Amino acid sequence: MNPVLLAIIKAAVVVFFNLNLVALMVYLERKLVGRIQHRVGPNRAGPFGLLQPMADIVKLILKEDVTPRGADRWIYGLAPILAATLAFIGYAPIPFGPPGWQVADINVGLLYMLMISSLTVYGVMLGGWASNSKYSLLGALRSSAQMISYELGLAGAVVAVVMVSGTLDLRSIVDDFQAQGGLGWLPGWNIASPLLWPSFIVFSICAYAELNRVPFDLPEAEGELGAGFHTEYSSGRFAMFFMAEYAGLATMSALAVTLYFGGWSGLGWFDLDRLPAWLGWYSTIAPTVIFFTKQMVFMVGAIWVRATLPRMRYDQLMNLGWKVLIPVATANLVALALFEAASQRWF
Amino acid sequence: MAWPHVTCFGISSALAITAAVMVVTRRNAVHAALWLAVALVSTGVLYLTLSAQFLAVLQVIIYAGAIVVLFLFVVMLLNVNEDQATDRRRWLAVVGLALALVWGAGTALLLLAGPPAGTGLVVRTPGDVALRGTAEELARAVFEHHALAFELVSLILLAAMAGVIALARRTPRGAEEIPGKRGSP
Repeated sequence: MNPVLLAIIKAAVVVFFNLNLVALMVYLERKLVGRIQHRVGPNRAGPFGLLQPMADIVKLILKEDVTPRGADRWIYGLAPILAATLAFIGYAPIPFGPPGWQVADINVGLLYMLMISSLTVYGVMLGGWASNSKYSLLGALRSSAQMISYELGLAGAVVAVVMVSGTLDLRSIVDDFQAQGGLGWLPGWNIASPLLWPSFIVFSICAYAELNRVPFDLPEAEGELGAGFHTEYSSGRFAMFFMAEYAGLATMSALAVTLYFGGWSGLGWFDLDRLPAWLGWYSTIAPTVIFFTKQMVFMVGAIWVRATLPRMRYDQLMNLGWKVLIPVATANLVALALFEAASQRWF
Repeated sequence: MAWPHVTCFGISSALAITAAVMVVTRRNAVHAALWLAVALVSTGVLYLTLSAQFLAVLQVIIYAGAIVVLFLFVVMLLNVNEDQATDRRRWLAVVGLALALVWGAGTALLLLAGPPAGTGLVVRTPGDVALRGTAEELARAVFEHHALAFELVSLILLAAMAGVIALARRTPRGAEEIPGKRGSP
């Protein structure tokens, strides 16, 4: 098949899947947070409120699309498009199955992910500035400072994985786990190595901050800033910011699974070749099912965190980023480098 | 180069040049910074069409993802309005134009005549770049062949950082310490 056509089809399928995932996540988040807070959550539209996302979409699209007076029209329109586009194209180099199950096999896939994450700040910043509203501008400035700060921690944490795997290619990182083999009944995922635990912890915290999720959702601190950078947005444009947040969460979860939890490889407790012949089709899709199951664990974890933790204060956030996470990531890198050097020399 | 590469190269170079012109002609500082981001990203795409993926991604991370964001941040924080942002000195435009002409003529000469002998300049083909532009090759060049220069550059950067911190911490004489100011951005 024509490789360009194949790439377009793959990209369309992945974007379609992620769009539906966003709808599902909105429902799941409201339902789970409700459950955790002893409420019922949405329960009117359809059985168990399952049609709630549909109702939300219709409501959002039918609302009036307001552009504030004095807003910079071009940039005001551009910001949500930029946010949504970047959130969706971030998924491209993630390998969600054996070779071929990936939109773009880039040999610097990991750097590509960091690149997209460093560009997401534009949506927030421009949206806040173009609204011509002081709350939006304050939210935008806060969030850009936050996102720039936590990007450093994120990159530092990710470099540790690169040092262990020796490659920037996401597919090779996953293959590297499988080559290692496991320890007894444990699979040989990167997280099995204690030297990568600090890196994983820093990565998770920074990922929440990059995504502006609770406990780091300062850009939209309701009590102080209205709704932060998207105070003035309504209708479809607001929906795009909303989608971008959940798509970003999906991408970050997929990255965490790829880097630390073995990507599409299973636990290895069951040999798929032993399935009866009529279930043979399952062994084809099993890696992808495994991958999305792991990804969902992370996404549900993010909802849980949201329902549990209070929001941090701004100075606490900055102190945590610069004085705790970046030093920890750096120390972890030095320890890993010493260990690698020692193991090459003596073991 | 195959035709998709050539098309891509043409579109992104046209975009880069247009955006560069927009950067210097916009009155609004935020618009100018955004056009700068467009120019830098298009340059990244140019690297991509020359199959230097690593360089392309770094170009976007460092310039569009960090430096222009910093520009935007400062512009928004200071809330520069259009009158303050425009420098009306005519001679600056003349000097700029002259410099651009000299630079353009030099580049054109280099492209038409090929690199002069003995300067160590070589013309690279995309295939050549693909072999030499990988992260491994770059790391080898920086950390093995040019290790001393690399360390010196990092020392200079460290000195700059120390200088900035020293300047920022110094309280002006007579100025009172505002409670809670330190530590809050």
